[in-house]
Amino acid sequence: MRMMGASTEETGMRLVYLGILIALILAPSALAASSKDDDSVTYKDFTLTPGDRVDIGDYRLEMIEVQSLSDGIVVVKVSKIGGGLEEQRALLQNSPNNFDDGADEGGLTLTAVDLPDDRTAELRVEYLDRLGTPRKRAADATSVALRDMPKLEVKQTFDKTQVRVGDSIKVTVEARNIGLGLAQDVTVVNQPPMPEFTYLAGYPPKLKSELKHGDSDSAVFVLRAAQEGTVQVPGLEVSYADSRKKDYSNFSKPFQVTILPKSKPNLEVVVVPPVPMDSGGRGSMNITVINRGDAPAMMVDVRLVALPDGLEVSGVDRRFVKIAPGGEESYTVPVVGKSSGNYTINLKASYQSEDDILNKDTSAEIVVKGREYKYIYFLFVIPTVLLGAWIYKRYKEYKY
Amino acid sequence: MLNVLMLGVGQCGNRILDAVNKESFGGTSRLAKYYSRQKFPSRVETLAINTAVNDLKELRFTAAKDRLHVPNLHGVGANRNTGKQGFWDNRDMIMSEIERRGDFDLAFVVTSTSGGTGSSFSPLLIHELKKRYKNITVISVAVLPFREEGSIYLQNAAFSMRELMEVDADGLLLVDNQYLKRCSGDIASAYDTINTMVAQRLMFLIECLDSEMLSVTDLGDFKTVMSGGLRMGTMGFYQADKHSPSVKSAIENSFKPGSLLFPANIYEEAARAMVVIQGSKEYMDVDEITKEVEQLSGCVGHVFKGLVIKKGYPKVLSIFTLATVPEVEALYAQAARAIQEEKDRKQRAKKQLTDAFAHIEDLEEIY
Repeated sequence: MRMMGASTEETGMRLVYLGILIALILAPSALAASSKDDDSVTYKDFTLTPGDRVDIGDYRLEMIEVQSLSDGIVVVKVSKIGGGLEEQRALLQNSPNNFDDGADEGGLTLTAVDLPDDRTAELRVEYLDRLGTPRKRAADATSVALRDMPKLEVKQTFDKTQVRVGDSIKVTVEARNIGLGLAQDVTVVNQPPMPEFTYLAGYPPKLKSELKHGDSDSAVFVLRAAQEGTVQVPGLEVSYADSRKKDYSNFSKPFQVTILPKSKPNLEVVVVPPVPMDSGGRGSMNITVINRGDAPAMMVDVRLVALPDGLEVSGVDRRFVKIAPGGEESYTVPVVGKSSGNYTINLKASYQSEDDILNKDTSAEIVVKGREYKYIYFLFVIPTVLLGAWIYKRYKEYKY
Repeated sequence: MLNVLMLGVGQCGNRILDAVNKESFGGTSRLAKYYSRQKFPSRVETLAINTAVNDLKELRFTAAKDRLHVPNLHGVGANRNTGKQGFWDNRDMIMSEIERRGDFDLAFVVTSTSGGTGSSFSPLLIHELKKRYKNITVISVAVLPFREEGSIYLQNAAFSMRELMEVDADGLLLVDNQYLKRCSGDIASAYDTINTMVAQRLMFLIECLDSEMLSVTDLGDFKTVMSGGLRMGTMGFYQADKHSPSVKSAIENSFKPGSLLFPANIYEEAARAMVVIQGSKEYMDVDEITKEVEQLSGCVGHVFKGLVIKKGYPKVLSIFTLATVPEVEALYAQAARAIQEEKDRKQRAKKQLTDAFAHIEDLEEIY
């Protein structure tokens, strides 16, 4: 029985709930029917902070930020469920802004009524009554936190991507706060020095300790290439903290620098010997000193190392103060062949680079021909002919 | 300077003349004519005359222009009559060829007495020379044949020598092949040796006649010597060497039969003599030379002496004319016998032939 009484009571409660559910389902239809009957514009003021939303009918209004408190500018975004509208607009205080043709046409008209502080704006929302009652949704905590978080973009740029040993490189470090929050305690993390470089000045670079949203700062330091090779320079780390002293860091992109060997002068001494000359003859020898290196050759001394006995050469020893890379100096000296033979003359060019003294040896072969007796065969032919003629004459004299 | 004409007539004369020309080249190398010049002590013109062109072609040291071919078939065949006719037919040509060579003081006519051309031409040639050159001295160098060469050669030698003596030759220098044959074993080399011996003596004679002498002998002396005795003579020659450089022995040796060209006993048969001595001063012992010459003079009668100072061992040339020539007489006797035998042989043959013909005297040919 007790069981039956409980069941009857339970059935009654079920009916009540069902009635309430039906009433709830039917209530909006009743309201819509009454709205259709009433299309007058009404308004409602909301106090919003960044991230707060207001839903009216199919429209959603979200406050983005107070962009300028002094100028009375607040940024809002209005969107429509199902698409058709999504617009972010800066509202000037006390200036109505229409969205979707404004409240008179079924859209929204927003007016920044007041900006109490840099995070709060009082907005008036005008709309048709039939859109229903606007409902405000406060921004959740996570969203708020994002809005307070700074974010630094770190760039590291080199003025040269290819240098030679000994050359200096200017490195620029730039940090830009692209986050919404204030970056505090901005510091370039000191990294261990790389063996390929010597650090001349400005390292570690120092940046402003605080960077607001959108602010940037840069610092320069100078390196000198010390070892040749291709160097992968790791990204530079910049550490910072947000307003709640939470630490962050960001890295620049790594960078590749090619370090070429140190530039040097490289002299080539080209000797063009005279054409083979007769003994006792004269000729001229052309000497060209060419700097095929990539650094100037300084104090270039060209001198004749040893002169063979059968030659007479003068004016070989010369000094050139500087021969630029790719440059050349040329001169001609007289050569006299005193006696026949094949002679090798050796020339030495000594020169200075930035920090070294270098030598270059060159040799050239000079041919001095023996005196050519062009018609020497006549010495044989003529006497032979004469002798033959004489013998023939005698033969004829005595031939009977 | 003497102007000397040297004529080689006939084969023998040509060859002796060629030997003279060879001597003028130095007398050593066969090729000397190609690299050397003839060096005669005087102006010497040589001319080889022959009717046989082949004999002229055989000459080696005589210039072509100095060879005169007298066109008469190919030689005269040892027939002196044909030779004489050939000479007369070509006399003007021969003499003009000689005259073209200029004037001469001395002429040597070198010939064989036994051949055809030489034995027939030479007497006539000497006659013409004497006629055309008024002051010329003509000496005939007459070569006597080997005795066994045949009767015609002996006959030619006999008649030719007589003609040579009959013409106006200034002298006859005899060269006896028979005598000189002893110098060499075979006939061919004997001819060469004899020719060379004659050539050396003639060259030395010309040199001595034209040299500046310590004691002078000249052409006049030579003519005087050659006019002595029978106007027939011969030459002796000797050259000393380092083993025996004595001038005395050189002179004595030049008188010896072995040095003479004709067999003679100088000390008994010579009529006049000329002795020319040449050599370095250190060998020229005048006392010894004089003594030797005086010794010869005691036998011969008169001796002309000539001394020529010239570097070298003593060389002696002795020229003699003979007062008696028994060897010539023997030659003539032999020639006469040969002629008689030839005559008899011919008569016998003629008789045989006449007898042979007699067999058919009364017969006629029947065909």
